[in-house]
Amino acid sequence: MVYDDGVGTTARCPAHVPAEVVRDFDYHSDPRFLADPLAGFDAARGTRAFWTNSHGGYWVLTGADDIREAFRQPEYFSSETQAKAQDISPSRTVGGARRLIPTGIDPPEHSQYRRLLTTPFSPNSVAAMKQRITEVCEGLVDGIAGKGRCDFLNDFARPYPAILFSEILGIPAERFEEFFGWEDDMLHGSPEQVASGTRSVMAYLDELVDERTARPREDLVSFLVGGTVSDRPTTRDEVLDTCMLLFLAGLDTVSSALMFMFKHLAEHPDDRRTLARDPASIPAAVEELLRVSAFVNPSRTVARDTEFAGVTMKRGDGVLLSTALASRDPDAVPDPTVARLDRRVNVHMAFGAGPHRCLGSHLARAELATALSTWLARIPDFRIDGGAPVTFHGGGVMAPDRLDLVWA
Amino acid sequence: MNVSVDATTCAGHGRCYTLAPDVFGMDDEGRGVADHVPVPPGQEARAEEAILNCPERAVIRNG
Repeated sequence: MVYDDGVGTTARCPAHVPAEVVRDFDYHSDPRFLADPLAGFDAARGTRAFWTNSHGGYWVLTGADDIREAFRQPEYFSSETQAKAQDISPSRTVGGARRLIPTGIDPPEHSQYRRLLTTPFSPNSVAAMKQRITEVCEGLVDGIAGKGRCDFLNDFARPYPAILFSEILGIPAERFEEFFGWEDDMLHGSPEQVASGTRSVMAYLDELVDERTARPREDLVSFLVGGTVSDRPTTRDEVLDTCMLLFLAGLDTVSSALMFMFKHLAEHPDDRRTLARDPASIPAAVEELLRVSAFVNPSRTVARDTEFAGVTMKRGDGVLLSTALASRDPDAVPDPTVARLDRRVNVHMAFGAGPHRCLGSHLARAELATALSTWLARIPDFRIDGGAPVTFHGGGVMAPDRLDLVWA
Repeated sequence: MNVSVDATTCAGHGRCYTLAPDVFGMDDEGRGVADHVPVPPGQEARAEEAILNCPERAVIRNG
């Protein structure tokens, strides 16, 4: 069977995919989807699994239980076969041919790499960073507060996690500006900029690894250089691959979470007031805002033929495990599309599930909670400027494109 | 009330020891551990919340 995949080309459906499970769905570039990506995922429910022919074709699981199970069965849903997964994320060629450690590796090898990173991102390590997180956040917000307006993405949501990440990694402050330029090209540029940004970042990291090998400091690059994997020292490639993964995992994600959260707060004065009055309620609010706007869309590749979620999946098929579909499932969460900041039961998968559960989640939570408390103490009232509707991008990490905030 | 954390399914989300710090602790890798069992008096509601909020359903009530 031949279908129009909606982008002007036709795609052939694999023989094992019956026509009745094929849907018209594209979370990367369909304008109807991008008008409101979270609603776009909600609209995709109805069957436990469906196939779309967009971007090379892949399965979409729609229910929380099925998505959780897939996350937890790496022997069936592999992270390793990146070639197929890249088809689902055509814009994500960042990192070039490097393998991503540890997200692109299956258990049992995965756990060796994961263990290396567990300590620097553990809740205890994050607690020790709390003061610095607050200083960086306050510095940025103090610089903005008197202006009465800001380009939230570029004035806060991007620099805040980028400064902290660079400090954790061990990049000297005097290189930040240069580094952020490369990083911006790598994560947000044209294909040529992505390639050149990636080369520059890798060349700089290569240099940094040399420096820290010769003179170790108290930073993550030194820690990785001195680390062990499977009882042997890490190799240079492993250190570089891990650094590259941390970039891809740690920067856009926190920025995107902030964009969704501050859009919500700008549009919900009651929620702003509640959190400003009672900062102790902020951690629960962070969980709920992560849940209701879960924006990361990981994918896997079927490693063995299997019957799953009522369909026949073949080795090599791509499978989308959207955290939005997992976290806004009406069968799992009452009123799933409503942000209720004091939700007592909040089982979300914004950080994924299973062995690849977001390693940076504890750091992300601390950064997000600090952003909320700092803003609401200094800028308690703000709204979105102008009448133009907020536009979104889809794909692997979804977010509002920009957010112009104003306050008195 | 008795609770435990299934070490094979726990993925270290950290919800249990955040919601019920007087019941659960963490191991070196950030996985939840039921440190205080039976659940101390007055902590039952929090322990229940930890069970209900675990994304992996790894926090289990044993009686």
